[in-house]
Amino acid sequence: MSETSVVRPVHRRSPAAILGRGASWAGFGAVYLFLYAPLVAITVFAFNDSTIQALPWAGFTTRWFEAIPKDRLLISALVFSFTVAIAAVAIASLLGTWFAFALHERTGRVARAARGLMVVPVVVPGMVLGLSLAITFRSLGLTPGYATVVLGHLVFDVPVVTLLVLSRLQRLDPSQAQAAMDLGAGPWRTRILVVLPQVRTAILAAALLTFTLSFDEVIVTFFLVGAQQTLPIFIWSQTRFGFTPEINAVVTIIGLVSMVLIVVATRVITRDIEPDNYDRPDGGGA
Amino acid sequence: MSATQQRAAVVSLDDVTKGYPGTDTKAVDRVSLDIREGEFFSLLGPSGSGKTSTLRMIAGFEEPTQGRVLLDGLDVSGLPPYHRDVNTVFQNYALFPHMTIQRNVEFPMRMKGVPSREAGARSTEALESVEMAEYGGRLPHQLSGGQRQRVALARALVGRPRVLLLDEPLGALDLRLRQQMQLVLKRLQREVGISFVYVTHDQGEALSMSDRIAVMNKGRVEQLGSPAEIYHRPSTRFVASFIGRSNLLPCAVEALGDSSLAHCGDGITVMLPAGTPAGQALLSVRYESVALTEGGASGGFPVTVDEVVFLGDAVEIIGRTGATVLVARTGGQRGLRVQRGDSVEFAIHPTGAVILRD
Amino acid sequence: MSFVAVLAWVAVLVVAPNMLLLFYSVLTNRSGRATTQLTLDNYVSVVTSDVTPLLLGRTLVTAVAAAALATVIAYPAALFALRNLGRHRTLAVLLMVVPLWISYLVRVYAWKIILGDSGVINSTLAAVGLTDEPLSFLLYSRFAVLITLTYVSIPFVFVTSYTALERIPPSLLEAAEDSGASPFRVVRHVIWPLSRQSAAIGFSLALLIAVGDYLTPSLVGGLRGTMYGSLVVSQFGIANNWPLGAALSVVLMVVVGALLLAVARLTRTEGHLE
Repeated sequence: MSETSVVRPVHRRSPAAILGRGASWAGFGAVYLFLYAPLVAITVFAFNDSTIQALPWAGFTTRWFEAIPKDRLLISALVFSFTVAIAAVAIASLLGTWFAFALHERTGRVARAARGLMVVPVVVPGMVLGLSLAITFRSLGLTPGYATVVLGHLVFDVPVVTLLVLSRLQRLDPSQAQAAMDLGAGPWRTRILVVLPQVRTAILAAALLTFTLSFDEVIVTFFLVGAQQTLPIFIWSQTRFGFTPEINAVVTIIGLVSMVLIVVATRVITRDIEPDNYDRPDGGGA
Repeated sequence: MSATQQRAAVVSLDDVTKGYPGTDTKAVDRVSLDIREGEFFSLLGPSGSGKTSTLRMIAGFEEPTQGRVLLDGLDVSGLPPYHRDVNTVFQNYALFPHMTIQRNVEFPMRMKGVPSREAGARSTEALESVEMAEYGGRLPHQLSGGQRQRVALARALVGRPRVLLLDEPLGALDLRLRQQMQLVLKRLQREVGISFVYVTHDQGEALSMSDRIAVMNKGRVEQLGSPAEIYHRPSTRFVASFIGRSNLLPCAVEALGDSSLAHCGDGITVMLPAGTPAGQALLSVRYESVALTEGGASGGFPVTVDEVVFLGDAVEIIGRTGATVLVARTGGQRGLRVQRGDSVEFAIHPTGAVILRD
Repeated sequence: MSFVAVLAWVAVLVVAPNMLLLFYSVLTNRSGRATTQLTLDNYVSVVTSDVTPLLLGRTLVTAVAAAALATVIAYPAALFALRNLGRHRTLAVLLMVVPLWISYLVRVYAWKIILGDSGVINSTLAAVGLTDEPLSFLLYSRFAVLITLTYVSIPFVFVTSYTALERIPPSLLEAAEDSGASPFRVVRHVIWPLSRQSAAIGFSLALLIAVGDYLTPSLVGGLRGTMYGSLVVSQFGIANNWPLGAALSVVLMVVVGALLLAVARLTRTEGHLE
């Protein structure tokens, strides 16, 4: 384009430009293809009528789904995973929210250090965390089992809840709590009646996230688990020798349930009143 | 004015100072004042003058580093906000977004343990007083700014506090709505008879609504008085320049028996009441107290017009004589034919000149 | 009281385990039991071993490569989504994070199905007639580890980049274009400097995942793709030498910490958006 041209064409549709644009879209699409290909492969082979997960296609079957309820080991691992995840989520939501309030109301170097240290287990490599917790629990004389697994999961679940709720609390207008106190609510009624309802979506989101974290965790659990396996550990022990498509079937079901959960959760979270869009600047008529 | 002067003090600040860690400058510096029963009291000052910190110490959100805050004569040091019979209207209203308007207004009564039927009736009444009764079922984000403002007022007043604190409550509204709300506020204050402490940086709001005003600057109270006193008899250079618009002239005052005369250089002289101390002084003259006179009037002096500013309801004429620049403000009558470069005559109205202590 | 609880939590479940890890790393292993005879032998054997430094180097190179590859793919994708998808861009973000809700283990295993000798790729290539024999480098190789780690990292880099890009006010881009900057130079001089810190956070997350991953190498890496993490795990399991495992862990943490610090230093941007 020359310096002197007065009117710049808005869209230049030279062949090269169209080609470039097409290539961009293709590249963008390829990222998603890359992302979903493995999921599609898992689902497809859940319906393949062969124990070997390879092409060519051996025919359609639902027998892998039908086999699930009969597999006692799988079911007990599944149930164990659920009980671990539910306990971890329940405790982590309570403790994490409590800690978030405590850290929000406390400033200073000690509070900052505590918050920083709390997050360490989330970023540390899994086997390092697993080994350090195994050493700790052994030193405390705890036998590996349900309690150690739940406690181990809490070590990374609690900070996740705390961080999410804390960041919500910090975005909350401080005059909300002040207004409540000003109108006669003591600290606890202020927290429960005014602050908590405004961070509940963060707690809900954190609960969902920690559920998947706990339900899916392999490596830390591996260091802490006793004789009863969790589902991921069960799957893992199977995969080392090449597992049957029954696992694909289980995963497909869990995947579908997760998707439904995400959609519902997103609906709930976006529908909820967010104080962010509350202070819209507008001065409409009285 | 004499009626309110005899009433008891609801809020007393006794030598109150507020400093924050990390800075030497004090947000509030040795402020002492009384706010009386049923009075509309304004804290007026630019941002950073300490007016909001003062309000927050009365509310209990902050504690003074020195001095005492008294409510009804009792020292409330260490008493948390929820135990003070003082309510606040926040700048951003701070309505609880997850509660309906009705629930918002009922909130203070729920906290006091008022039975729910009575709480319902009283909050409806409070909403009626601000003409918002029909919006009880809505959520705050469904209301306009002006409506939220009214709800915030109803919520703060429903519990009949001893004092209502208002922190720039009209700041977020547009001009027309602001003027409308000023009337609502003044009417409500008269009706409920509760003392209002009103924080603002807008002199127009303070002058039009207040019984008394404390003008604050750099943490100190510069002047405390009725709007008329503050406007017509500013006592410091800051007040003279912050409220209204004033010419400030350094003058030498000379005692002349039954009156005084100020010599302000460049042939400008102003008559002052007798008893004005002689010596160097700073004279404040409101723009509107400088008159454009016909030639030969007593006390008049010639100036050259530098600029004529048309303001709609008035005209400001900037005149120069020697090294002195003066602004005269006159009604914008039609036919005023003064132009840049003209030679005209200014005269200073004796009652419009005030000696400032500096 | 609440704050004391936080401190107690941190002390018992964060500080104590790490202190114990450090303590274990200087203990002596006697046939599977740690004895309180203090020694630096564990560290000596980590450094002087033939295998350990090699595996550490290989792990770091693979992890950095995977994180870089994920960034090169995900950052432009985030930019593209933000600028070209209009109202549908939140859907693009949602679709990007959905796979994170599917079991990590399963997503890794899926690559075994795809890359295997009779997997999706090889059987397709054979069916089309492009290859006579399966491409055996696809599975049980460092290539497989790299692809899989890149795959699991992409969503993290995408989301962190996207949130940063979304915060850049459009007026800044318009101002740059208005000043005569070409689209490439807008990205180079305005968008990238304002978002690279967040992209670096995504990169660091990817790096952490890759360095600390054990499942990927053990499922798709084979012998050629063994990584450092497997060493730590085997000290806990088969070798049953916790003190050596602790020393290996401490070394890993120090190296990774230094690496992340370097990334943060390199991408720091002066000034910030309101």
